[in-house]
Amino acid sequence: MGEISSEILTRASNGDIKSFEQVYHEFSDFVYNISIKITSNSHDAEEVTQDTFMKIYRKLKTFGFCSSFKTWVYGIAVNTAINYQRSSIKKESQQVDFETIALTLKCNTATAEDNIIEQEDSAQLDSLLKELKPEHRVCLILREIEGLSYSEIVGILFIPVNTVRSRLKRAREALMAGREAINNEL
Amino acid sequence: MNCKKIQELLITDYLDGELDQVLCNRIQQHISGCIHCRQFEERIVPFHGIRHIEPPTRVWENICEKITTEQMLPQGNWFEYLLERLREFLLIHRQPVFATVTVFTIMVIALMSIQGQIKTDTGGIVVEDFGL
Ligand SMILES: [Zn+2]
Repeated sequence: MGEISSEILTRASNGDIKSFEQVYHEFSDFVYNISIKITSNSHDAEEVTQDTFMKIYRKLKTFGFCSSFKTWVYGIAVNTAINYQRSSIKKESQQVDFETIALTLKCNTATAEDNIIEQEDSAQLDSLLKELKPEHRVCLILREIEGLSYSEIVGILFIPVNTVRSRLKRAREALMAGREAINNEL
Repeated sequence: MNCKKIQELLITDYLDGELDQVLCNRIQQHISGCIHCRQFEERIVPFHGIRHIEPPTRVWENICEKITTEQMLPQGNWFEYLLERLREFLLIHRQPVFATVTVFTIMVIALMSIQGQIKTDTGGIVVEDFGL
């Protein structure tokens, strides 16, 4: 992920929509995908993405250029998604999201045949991920998919590094146990 | 280091490349001589194949529309701004008791200020009456 220049940020914070569109294109992929992983639902993920970018737009003026813009954006996205997920869990029990499944299938059919095993892995991993606690899942996604270091995760989630470590440990142990349970059934 | 500590590191710092070379070497040395930790390492689920999905174009269209609407508001919608601040405040302070007390206090202040406005309005009319 490249860096957005401070001129673009300044122009965007002054209401220049073209500059803000550049910010959007730089980070929308991360925001949308982390939202899908946290909410397990493409419709909710769209809403979270919109909410996140509205917050970024409104708060741009208060962004201190001393900190990393990427970390700042990631923090807003993750917190918005977690809060959205928390409030929607209260509203309704989890529903099967056919649109997300369809999208995933569409992505999968576009890839080569020798990737089929990997795709099955991916589908299995997706369903295992959904079983994790949101805060454990977030840590794992930031680390494994986004490739962030422990200190970057600390900066985004505002939790001690030992908490990052213990959440990753719990998440991975749960994945190991889940995968072994599936394999034993097969 | 005992097996428990080794396995703890295997599933966290070692896997994530957060350890210095000295510690990495010590762990590798232990694994080569310990069947339990070797088996544990083999059980760790590799994480690959998660695909990124591009957000639909309507997401940006909606954001763009919201921003344009917001820009057209004369001085920004203060009520929306207050609600947003309040929401953020409540999200930071998640303790239910504290949140309830805060909401209650804000509601009381809001009610008092509305009442205050009504009083001033009536006061205004009275003054005008005197003027007549
Ligand atoms: Zn051992």
